[in-house]
Amino acid sequence: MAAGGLSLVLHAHLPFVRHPEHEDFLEEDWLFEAITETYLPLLRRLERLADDGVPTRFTISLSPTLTAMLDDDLLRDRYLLHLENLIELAEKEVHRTRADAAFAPLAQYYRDWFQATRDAYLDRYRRDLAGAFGSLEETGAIELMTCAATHGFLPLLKTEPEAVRAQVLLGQESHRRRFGKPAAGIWLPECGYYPGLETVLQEAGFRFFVVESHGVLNGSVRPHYGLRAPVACPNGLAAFARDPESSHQVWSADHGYPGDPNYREFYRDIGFDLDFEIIRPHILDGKTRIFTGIKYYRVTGDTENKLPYDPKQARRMVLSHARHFLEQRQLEVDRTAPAMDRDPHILCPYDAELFGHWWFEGPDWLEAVAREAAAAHPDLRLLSPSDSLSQDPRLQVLTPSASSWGSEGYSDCWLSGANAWIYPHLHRATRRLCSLAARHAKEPAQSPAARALNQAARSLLIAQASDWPFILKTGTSTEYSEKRIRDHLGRCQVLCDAVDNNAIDPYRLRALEEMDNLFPFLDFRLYNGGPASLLP
Amino acid sequence: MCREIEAEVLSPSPPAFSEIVLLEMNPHRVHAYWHVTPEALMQARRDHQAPNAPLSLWLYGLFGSTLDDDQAAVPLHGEALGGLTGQRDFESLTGGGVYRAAIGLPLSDGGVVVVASSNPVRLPFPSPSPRYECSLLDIRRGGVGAPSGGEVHPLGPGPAIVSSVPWPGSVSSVGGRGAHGDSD
Repeated sequence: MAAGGLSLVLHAHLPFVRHPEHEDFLEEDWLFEAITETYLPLLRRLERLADDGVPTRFTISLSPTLTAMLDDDLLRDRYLLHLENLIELAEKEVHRTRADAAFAPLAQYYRDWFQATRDAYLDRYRRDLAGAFGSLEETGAIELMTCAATHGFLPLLKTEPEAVRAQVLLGQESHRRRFGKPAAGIWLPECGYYPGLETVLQEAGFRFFVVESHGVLNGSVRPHYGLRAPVACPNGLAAFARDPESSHQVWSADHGYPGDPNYREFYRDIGFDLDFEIIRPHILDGKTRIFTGIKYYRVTGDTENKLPYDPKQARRMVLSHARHFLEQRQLEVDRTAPAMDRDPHILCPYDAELFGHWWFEGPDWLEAVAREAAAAHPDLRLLSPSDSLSQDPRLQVLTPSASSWGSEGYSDCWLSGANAWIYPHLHRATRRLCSLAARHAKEPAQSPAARALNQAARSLLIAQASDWPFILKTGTSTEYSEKRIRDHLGRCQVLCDAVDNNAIDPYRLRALEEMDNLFPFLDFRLYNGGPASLLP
Repeated sequence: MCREIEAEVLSPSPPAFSEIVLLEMNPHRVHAYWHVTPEALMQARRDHQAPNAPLSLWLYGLFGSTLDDDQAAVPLHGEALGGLTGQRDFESLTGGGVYRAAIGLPLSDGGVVVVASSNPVRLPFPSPSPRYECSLLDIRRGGVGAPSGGEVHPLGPGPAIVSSVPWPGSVSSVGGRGAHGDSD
């Protein structure tokens, strides 16, 4: 069999959902669910591989907003409360199902899992999951990438170059401060690329980024190696193309692995299945049914009559699917290697939250892929994009075409009838901030005006997140997304007005700094050509 | 403290200047948003003695050699507008084409008074480039600037790997006006 490289890239991201203004807040559950179902399981499996001496090399991009939330003490406290609530609910389920042969073992399974999760979070990781990922990078098990500061979809911000520059430079600065060194790679939000973006990526010190397949296939010249090797933009920034086949095998709703009948069914949750009185004490407002994370059924098939979930059978399928995945990648390497003067390389990027949250068995599948690759595919080497560039730094010069991994392949998803209204506001707010940054360029760092402009920048950045227009387009949580956009643009506007009128309310400013506490090192002069921070 | 100011109200006050902005959506579609101040509209009508000229929007195809070359602008679409602020898409455009929009007043002599002109946009090509050129760049050398130090790939005149990835299927092509990069 031919030798080849395989990069599994997991992009971990959530928008900034932190609401100190409320005792508890539904959307913070997005983070808590992802911690329980994705981040902690990933960490545990990666550590298990290392403990067993299995050579592993995954690539994980941690978005700056996610990293900030993982580091946030308020959210850490609230996560533990969330877990305690889940454990209490699971205990009740153990009692309720005690005479039910099909569901009693599952109820115990969930209770034990939640308890183990709490213990791991407190004792093993001491609430520091970002630090745990950083430690894994030091062992070589993973390479960390970062992302644009708040996951702004850059192709739709580019009419204001300062907005793109701020997203990119701040993303790198945030990573450097948290992990002690700059990231070599940036995950472009939604794989959104446009020709010329590489200039600011280079300014930020990045070496590579990932684009959608047709970004390379439809690039400035034909790719010599197709999708089997990275290319270099004229300024030397490397671009790796997503492999569509391996994406399809994992992502596809109809044909992907997660749809196997033996895997856990996401949509059957006791939050919706049980009598309301049973779950009422365990939901936030006592009125609205929500997903609890306790799910007793498997996919079964295209039927409403779902069968009970069997973890053992699911694990068997995990192994089978891991083997299939690697066999398919090896076939592709074997097919393309004879025509190449280097080892073919396949890059498989996924949303990290697919693994565990949406596809419950996903973390087990990743572990199985690593074990099987080591045991049965010695020619298929798991490596990171940086490893690939070190292995063969001679790349074809090709400027990718504008592209994204959205459903249409371009910007349509984030610019439609449902969300186009936000862009005039985002662009105008950027221009106003740039104008104020220029006028106040000599402002002392801790002056009220400087702090107000720093905070206005934070508000604008949060409003730029690609998550909000995506949610507006897909029609889920639209009220919340619209409110977030309007609130943050409103905060930006109020702060800019205050600076303009020399009427800064210190009480209000302090409150906003507390609420949107992202990037405490940010300096507004970033919007006037300055660096992301003036602090050491 | 935070709860008191949970929601700052975004007051969508229109900008104090006129503008029109184009955003690329896909190889065949652009999105435009615009705003014209009442003062700018009145001034244009007064200056050009066209008190009844309707505020209008035009889309141009730019067939010059660069994004900034307006010499060969060809009007593709024109319409009278019902208000000073709006948004709309332009469809069925040519992949790889360069476009610019303007907002202003049509004059009785066939001329146009431009109140605001947009940024130019180049749409992405919807298909692979016919050009093949394999210059290699060693990115360890810093990779800054054009790959003048690159070497001609020794393997031959065409791609080694031809990918058959069908993408994207949802955007129908209306034909291209030229090859990739031929007007960069």
